[in-house]
Amino acid sequence: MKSPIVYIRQAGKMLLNPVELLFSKIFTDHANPFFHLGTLSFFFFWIAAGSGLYLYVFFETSVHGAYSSIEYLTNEQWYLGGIMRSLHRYSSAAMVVAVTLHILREFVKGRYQGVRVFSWVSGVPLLWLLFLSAIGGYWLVWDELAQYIALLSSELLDWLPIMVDPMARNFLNEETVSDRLFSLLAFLHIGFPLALLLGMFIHIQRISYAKTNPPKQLAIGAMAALILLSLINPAMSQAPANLDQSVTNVGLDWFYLNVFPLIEIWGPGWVWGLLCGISGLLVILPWLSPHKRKPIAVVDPPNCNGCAWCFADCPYSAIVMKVHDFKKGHKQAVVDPDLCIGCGICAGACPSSTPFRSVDELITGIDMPDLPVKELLKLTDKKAKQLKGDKPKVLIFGCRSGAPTESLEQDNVAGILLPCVGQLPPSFVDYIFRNKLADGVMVTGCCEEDCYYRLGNTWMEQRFAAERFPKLRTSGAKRDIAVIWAGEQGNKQLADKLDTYVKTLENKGHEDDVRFVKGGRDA
Amino acid sequence: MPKLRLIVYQIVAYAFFMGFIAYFSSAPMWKHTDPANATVKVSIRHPGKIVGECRDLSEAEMGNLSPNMKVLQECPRERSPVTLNIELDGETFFESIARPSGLQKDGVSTFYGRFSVPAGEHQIKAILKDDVHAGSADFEVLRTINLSSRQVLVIDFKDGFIFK
Repeated sequence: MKSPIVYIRQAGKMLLNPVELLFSKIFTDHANPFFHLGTLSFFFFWIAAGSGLYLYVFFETSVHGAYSSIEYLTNEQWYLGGIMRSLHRYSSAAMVVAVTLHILREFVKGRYQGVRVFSWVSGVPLLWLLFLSAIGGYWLVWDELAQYIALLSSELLDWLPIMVDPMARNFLNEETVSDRLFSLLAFLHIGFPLALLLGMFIHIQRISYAKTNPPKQLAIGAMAALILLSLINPAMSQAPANLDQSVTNVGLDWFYLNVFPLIEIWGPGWVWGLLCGISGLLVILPWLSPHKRKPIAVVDPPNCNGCAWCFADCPYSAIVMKVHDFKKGHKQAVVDPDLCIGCGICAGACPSSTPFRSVDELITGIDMPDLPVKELLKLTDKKAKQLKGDKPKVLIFGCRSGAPTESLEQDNVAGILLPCVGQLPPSFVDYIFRNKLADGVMVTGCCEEDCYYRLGNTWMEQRFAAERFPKLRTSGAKRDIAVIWAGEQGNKQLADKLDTYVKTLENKGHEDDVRFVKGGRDA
Repeated sequence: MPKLRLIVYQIVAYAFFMGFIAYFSSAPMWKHTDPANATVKVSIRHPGKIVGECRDLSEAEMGNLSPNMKVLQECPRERSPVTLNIELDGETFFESIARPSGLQKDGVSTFYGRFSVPAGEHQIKAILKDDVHAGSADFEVLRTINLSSRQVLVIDFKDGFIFK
């Protein structure tokens, strides 16, 4: 019986996938915002940090100065200070939206267990820091909204048995608020984001080649949209805080301050329960549903020459290089079993994973126990022999996280599924063309920028383009290979691309005919 | 899809996202208190009386003390819990017993509460007991207060009730 979490994930996928597909059509896979939610969060953080620095120059840390200095920026210096204030506010809101979607997406796509647990769990305290950073910012404006959250925040904190004097005593009336409070708040509003930044740095430590910048197209679009929004609908203060008068109606930022109405409705105890419950649930979530660990990569020292290509390609930094066991002056790869996700990208990177080697048994420097390179070679030969008919014969290498290739199989088309397409050594494509095992090779996998194992399709493309070792060598292979990043929803697109590809191969011989096909999901 | 159409769709997507952010950044409005009401905040920090009485130390007990720690009396530190009762127009409005803070129960007792009450004239009666011993004097006050809408009235205590 499946865990309920698996059903929740499946339902989530059914909702998310069509939306992602729509955004891929609008933005292309390369700049699909759903594939860059983490980098967008970083991007929005930097906008908030940069604009915040500007605001801090003009901010006065006193009861009366706080509100008036913000008003000056908003009204007198609207052309820069006002825009900065709006950017500060809207980028923060955009960040929490990006972060929320990032969490939901990683959960729905099952990217939070196993090796990814570190990133998942280290992200939970970041949520607290993000909200604390934002809530602290709202205090600084010292308008009625600030008055409201100051009162409710202090009542929430007072519920905890940690302070003798209730914090709410600081906000009884106008007499009780002091200028020193604003120095403390400014300090906290800088301290929390700095802690958040440090946490974000830690959050991405267990992955190699972590991206923190969205594609240029997306960054420019998001920035332009935020500036435009700041001009059209500038962030404004509410009436100045007056603790001698109660706040009646308040315009809440529902992205960050949604917990405050709950404090009023449920009381502080239940709200603490909710916040701690959600945080605790997020922390234990990776262990609530079964996670089958894939077999990890195995190093064969006699065949490892210490080239470090696997070290360079591992998406989770699971490989380190040490002094070779017995080859003097050489290094040797070592796999950290706790970090290995079992993608096989390392086996695809190993220069010894080539069918052209003159050995009795093809044993590679680093390999996957569930599908060793020698078995992959046997499978390739077997599938190639099955190809028949008059039409151009095509071998498809796909990945288990991408579009299924079984349905594409015909007399002239055969498919081989790998855990990740990055496991395919480029020399296999050379081997197929050189031995005329097929007329064409199609390689497919996850969408561009959305590889389940992070870097499989990126490395494959670079290997095929001879930008990364091991490179594709034969000119025929470079010319006739089709690389289609169709993604798990791309069955139809892949079938269409295959059809076009076969037709292109049929026209072989025309000099002008460019047969190299590369693409993703068409717009 | 033609490029121009793509750009238009992207603009629509950005507009939708920014509209979403702009709207929920300050709306819908949340009603915290009724504009016709006033707010009464009860906020008191007051140490209760010491529960026990000081006792003279015997010669033998003083002999056991080191020279720099010699005292004539031993006084208990524990304080009485403080009881607060506030009535508004004859009905109990706030009633609480606050234990003294600290591991030795020797700290202050604190009360805090925030209440929304209709604006207008009210009679407030407040009683504070800070001594568990029978027959001790209580602090008591009866006050008529006219509260305007949105006014915040703070009930505090320092040698007697303070209304501000």
